[in-house]
Amino acid sequence: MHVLEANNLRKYYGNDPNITKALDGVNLYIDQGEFVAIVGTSGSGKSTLLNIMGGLDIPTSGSVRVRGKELAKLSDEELTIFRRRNIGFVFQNYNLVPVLNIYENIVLPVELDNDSTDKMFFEEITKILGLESKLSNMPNNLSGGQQQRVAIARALITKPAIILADEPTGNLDSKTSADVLGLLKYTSNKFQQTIVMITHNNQIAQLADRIIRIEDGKVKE
Amino acid sequence: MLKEHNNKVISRIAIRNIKSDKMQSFFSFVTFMVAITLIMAFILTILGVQKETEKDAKMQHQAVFDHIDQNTINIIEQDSQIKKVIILGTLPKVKYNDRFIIQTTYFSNFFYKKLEGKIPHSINEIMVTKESLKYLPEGTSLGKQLSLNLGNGISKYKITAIATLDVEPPNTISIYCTKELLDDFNNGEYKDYSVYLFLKNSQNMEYSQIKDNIYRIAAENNIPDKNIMFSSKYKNLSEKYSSKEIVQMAMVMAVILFAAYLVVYSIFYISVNKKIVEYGQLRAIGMVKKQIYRMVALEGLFIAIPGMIAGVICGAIIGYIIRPRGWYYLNFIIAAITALIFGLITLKISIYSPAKAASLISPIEAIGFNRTSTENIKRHKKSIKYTAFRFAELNLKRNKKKSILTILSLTFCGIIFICCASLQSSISAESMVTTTDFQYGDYKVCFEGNWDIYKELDSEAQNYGKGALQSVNNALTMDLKKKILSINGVKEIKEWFGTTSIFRFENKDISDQTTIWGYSRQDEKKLEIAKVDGTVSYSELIKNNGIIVNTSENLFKDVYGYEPKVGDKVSISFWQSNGTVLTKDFTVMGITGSADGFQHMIRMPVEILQKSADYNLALDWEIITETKYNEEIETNILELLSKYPELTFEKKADYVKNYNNLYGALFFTLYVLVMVLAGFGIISLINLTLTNHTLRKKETSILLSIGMTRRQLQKTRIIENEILVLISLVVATIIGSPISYFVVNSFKGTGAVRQYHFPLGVYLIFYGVIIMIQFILSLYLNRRSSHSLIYDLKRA
Repeated sequence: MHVLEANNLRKYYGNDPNITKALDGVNLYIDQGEFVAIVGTSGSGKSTLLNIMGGLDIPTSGSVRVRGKELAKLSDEELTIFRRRNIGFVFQNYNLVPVLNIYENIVLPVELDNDSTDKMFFEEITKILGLESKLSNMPNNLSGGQQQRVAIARALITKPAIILADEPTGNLDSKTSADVLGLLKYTSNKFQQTIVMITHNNQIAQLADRIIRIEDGKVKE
Repeated sequence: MLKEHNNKVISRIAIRNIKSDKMQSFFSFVTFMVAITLIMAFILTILGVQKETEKDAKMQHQAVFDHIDQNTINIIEQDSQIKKVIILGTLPKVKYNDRFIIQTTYFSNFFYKKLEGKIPHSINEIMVTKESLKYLPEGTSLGKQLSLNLGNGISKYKITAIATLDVEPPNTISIYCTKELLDDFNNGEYKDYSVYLFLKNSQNMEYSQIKDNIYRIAAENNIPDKNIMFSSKYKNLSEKYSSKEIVQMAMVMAVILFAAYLVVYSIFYISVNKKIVEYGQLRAIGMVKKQIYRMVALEGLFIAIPGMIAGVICGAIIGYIIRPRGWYYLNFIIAAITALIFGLITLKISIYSPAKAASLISPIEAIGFNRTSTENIKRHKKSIKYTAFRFAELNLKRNKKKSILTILSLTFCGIIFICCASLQSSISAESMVTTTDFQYGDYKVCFEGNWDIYKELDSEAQNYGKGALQSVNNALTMDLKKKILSINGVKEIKEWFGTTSIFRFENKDISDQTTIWGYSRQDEKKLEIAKVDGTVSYSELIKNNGIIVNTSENLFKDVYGYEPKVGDKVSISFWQSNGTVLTKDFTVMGITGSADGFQHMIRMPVEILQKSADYNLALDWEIITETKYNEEIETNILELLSKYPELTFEKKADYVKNYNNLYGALFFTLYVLVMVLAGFGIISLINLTLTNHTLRKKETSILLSIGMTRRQLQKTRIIENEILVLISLVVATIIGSPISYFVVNSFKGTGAVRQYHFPLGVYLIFYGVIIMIQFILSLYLNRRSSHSLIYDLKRA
């Protein structure tokens, strides 16, 4: 079974004749442990595809299944909880909760679920990401690269089915970008974590196991 | 099972949010604290008044028997229903130094605020009041001998005590003497006591039962009904709050809570708006709607609870200061619980919408949310000149709800402020005195009568009191009037006519002695305002031999157990100078219901009055002068009056001072309420200004970096804020003015208000302060914002 299945996804905005086809029949299948990059120019539909895959947006037609669960059939609350447990997000602008410290930000998805954190796993990922000494810091005391590592740790902590990374290096300089990408690749290999990353940068996309090109709402693999 | 509710992490985030946004938290805390303080103080004052009333009722007599001798008193005291009696005897008033009156009283039980010395025991010992000392010769003090004529020629008296009382009549020297002195002045036995009756177990009796007991005791001691006076004060004290009063109290509380609701709602609405992206992020990583709602609600709760507790404490302190006598621990508990319940309800209502809005934020909207969104802004085809005013206008339009909320909050506070300030400026001790006692002038000359002459009258004449005395000699003559008018500075004299008569309501068994007052055509307009039924037309009443009965404060009903109606037939007997009585029949044609200068029980057109008696009926002269309180005029009038012991001289200033003492707490309370409401409005506006500044840091940096000067930016921000203030000023004035007029006029019936005064000065200061605060705050914030552009650009 694929970890993620997207079948004939369409996302249309507006009405005829001024209809905008952000996605126009996208089929996509991702397996466990894959590191996939979705590449496309600005306006190609890659962000729309990522949002729909993550349950943040609803397709006009088509379906998305994550670990066999069809997202469209879930209520808003079920979807939120499903997302919390099965989908990790890494955003371009980190999106850390400014009033929580680094430790609290990382374990937030687990705590929202009223669950207990896997301490060993937590220590492992914070060590890998170089965050052990930063756990009591607040986000605004960290650099961009460090904040993005925290975001990666937060995405990993629930051992989700899939991590969706939206231009994770968009706000970083080249060296930091390379560090972050390297970490993403490493964690994907280490934990057999499925990662889907969207980017407009072909060079960055080369790091992935598979590259999917999207143009005008259609996949061109 | 899905375990989606985690209170611990939600509480943690809520607390951290509170700590991170100190300004918003502080404003919300202050708003709740102030609202609860006001409500606590208000409830404690009401309950305190009730408690004081209970205490006073226990100390209050139920009725008074007049003209009782000592033998009858001794019998009454033995009655099984009598708890105790207090005996009062007075000597006739005597003039002192041509200006003051000496009132000598024997009281078997003195009530005083403070006492120095010892109660007099022997015939030549007296007690004076502290206020009276200023009218007596300098050096008069405790232990000193004082030469006084108390009515039996000049004698020496030793001052054994000085008492401080709550209230004293102006220009009156109050002397308290022994029983022996009374007897000495009355051929060995004083027979004209007033006996104050205190029944056993009165607090558990219905008022009708009390009345029955009193009538029984009177009948058993051959005391006629006309010598029985039921205490209206006791009746008022024993009454609970009426439903009308409870509604009024509830309305005041509702106003306070609504003002608090508006401010808190505005603060939280703006806060949620500020955090749309954060809430979207939390939704994206898995926080469900209920958790977001709970988080915002907890933020409100964690701020409100300490605010409310602080409010309970402050309110309790203020409540104690206002009504220390009424303080009672149970009242505190009731007030605290009520205030907290109302506070929590207000919190729930004001937080509900913002919290709901926060929970409904969809992650995709929030992640794509642009704080500088230009949605709903119309695109213009023509090019527009972007002035500071135009920028300000655009900024206000792009978040209409925020702007409208702030205007609403300010406007509401403005309207309530106008109402309270109007009331505060329309009610004053001077207004009250002008309404009731000194309608036209600053001085009054009154006919009181001569005791020496009264003593010589037969008992039937004595029944007509001042009427009989007027018939013998009334010094308020045309000659005296001319002399007073000739004093430099005296403009005019308004004459009031009246005489003591006996009235009887046909078929109602109501008969009593009272002073009947006349009114002129000039007074018709004022009576019209006070009228509640029938007519007060001067011509109509003359044509139909009509009278006007005043029913304000239910006095008629309380005293006689009857509510007069238009059409009632009344016969009034007038003393005549030849020693006979002339009885005439009248019809009640008008009923007045206020104390608006016409608080006397019965009035009739002065033409009819003057035809009813064959002597000078002048009773009071109000002296209207060119300038207020002229000492020279006073001296001249007093000199003229020195020859007339039956005339007294009164000053409006003394009455004003008395009223200020009596109502000081009320005036102070109104001031405080006005200030607090102003504070609510200012909090709301400051919060908006600071939030806007924070939200638009990036935008500000961009504008500055592309070439807008700091001055231009400042101008835009200042204009934006001042537009909000000015709109609310206009709306509050348009809506608030008629409402305040209505509110003030509704107090006219109490006599507390003479005329509506729009509080222009205070109102301009209120809005002036708001405009200034806005201006200074905008200046300060804009100066700070330009120092590190890149930092703001990156971090915003």
